[in-house]
Amino acid sequence: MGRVHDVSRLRRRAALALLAAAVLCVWGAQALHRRVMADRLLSVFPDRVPGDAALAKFARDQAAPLYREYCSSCHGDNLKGDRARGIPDLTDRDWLYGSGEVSDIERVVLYGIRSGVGKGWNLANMPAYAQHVPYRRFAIESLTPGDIEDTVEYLRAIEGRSADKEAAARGEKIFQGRGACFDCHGADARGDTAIGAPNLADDLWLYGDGSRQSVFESIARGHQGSCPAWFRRIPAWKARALAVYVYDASHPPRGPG
Amino acid sequence: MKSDDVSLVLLGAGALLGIAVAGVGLFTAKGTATHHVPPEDAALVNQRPILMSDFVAQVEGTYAEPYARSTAEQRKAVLDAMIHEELYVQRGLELDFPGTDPDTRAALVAAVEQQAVADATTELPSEQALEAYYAEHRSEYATEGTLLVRDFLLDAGPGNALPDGAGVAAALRAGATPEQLALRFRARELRPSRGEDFYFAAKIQLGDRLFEIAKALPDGAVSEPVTLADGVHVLRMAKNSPPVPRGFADAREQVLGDYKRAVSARLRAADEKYLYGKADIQIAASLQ
Repeated sequence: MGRVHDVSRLRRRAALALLAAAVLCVWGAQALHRRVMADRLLSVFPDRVPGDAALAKFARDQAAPLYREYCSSCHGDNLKGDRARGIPDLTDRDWLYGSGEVSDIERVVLYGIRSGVGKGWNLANMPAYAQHVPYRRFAIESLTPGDIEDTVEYLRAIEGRSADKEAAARGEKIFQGRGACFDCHGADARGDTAIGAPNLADDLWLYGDGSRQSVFESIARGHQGSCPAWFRRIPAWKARALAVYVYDASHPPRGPG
Repeated sequence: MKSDDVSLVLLGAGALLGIAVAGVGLFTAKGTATHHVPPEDAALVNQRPILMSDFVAQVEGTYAEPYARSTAEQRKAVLDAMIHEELYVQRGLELDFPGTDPDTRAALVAAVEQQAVADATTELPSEQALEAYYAEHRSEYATEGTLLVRDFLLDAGPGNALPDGAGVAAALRAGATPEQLALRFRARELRPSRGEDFYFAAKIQLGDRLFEIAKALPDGAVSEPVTLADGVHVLRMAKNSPPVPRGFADAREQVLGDYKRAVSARLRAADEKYLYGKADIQIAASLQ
């Protein structure tokens, strides 16, 4: 009887050992696969990752929890941002900085916007024209409430919305002259993605709803939204995975036809 | 040759080879180099990485075009320039530029100061922390306040007669026009208005004393005469919209900026205290 017990105990132990070995093998294989894929993710030029189905899937899978941990508190679970707080919608194709390629997004993830990190996007702030010193880095004249109202009319006019023509004509002089708005937003008001100056001629709004009051307040009080730099907390391959994830959100796969 | 001699020769040769290999490894950068460039890097310069993301950003910044449109020549030019920079930075450290060059030192000080407040700029404070800060500094969050005020100045009358400020104030209250004031009292309007002004601009234009009087005037009110160094002033308020307190939601962006600045200032002070605390600073007797 004793021998039979010993044999069955031995068998159980052997089975447990085999199970443990199998679990270890699976875990090791997964870890190895992750390491290999992470290296591949970094080896491929970032903008080409979305074109590689396996890599893109790996990036998406890895990035979803990262997005929840690092980004969703501002950009929201649906990546739609919050216009009341000037947090950009990551699902549209309106990019403030760069052209929305994975490499551009990755740079924001790593080094941030107005994060103070030298490699980040630290230019430029929207001046607060209702202050004595609208902008600390550059001498710009303050504007009167009437000046700001005229500028708002000019912006409405170039967007093709209803506007007071005389006020818009005065506003154009301010935009192209002493307001120095052209310096960042361009003479055509279409913005400049090299310094994060939004396009003012489209109907997408980073802050507010585009109403007269909302645009007035943006000009009067200025803006300087920021995005943290994560390069000290997120390893390079995870930053790239996050960048691919955000890229995917703004480039949904096209349906058949 | 005896077998003992052969053994000795081989032993000596082996030792020499070992020393040579160790020497190359110890005294040359190439000796300690790995030949594998990590996937996140564009190059290694004496084992210091040039990050691929930096390289891509540099190419795009240099040629103002997406990286994908850059040519092989452009990429090579940028990589060469980055390698050149890295080599010279390394050489600069060997030459102790941080110890001797004022520009390098200034850049280092700025970078370390920035590093000290990096957490404050990166961390997103909780809404509760922001609301608490707002509650503590509520008075700083208000709309700008605008006013449209007319400022009439009376010079001394004929033969240095005292200007009739009270008469001007009464006439203004009765609805006199600037032209009538000019004829009857020789009063002239200063800075004919270009429209409403923000409070800060009105304060600059009127001066502190007149502004304090002006901002208390309701729409349509006329001030008492105010004697200043340049004559007697009478103000007529056309429209006064005083600052209105802003709610937290409306002022949140400004609160966030102020909160981060306050935290940065605290961190900077703490960093400085720590550095001074652990430093051994000795000052010449003549300067103590």
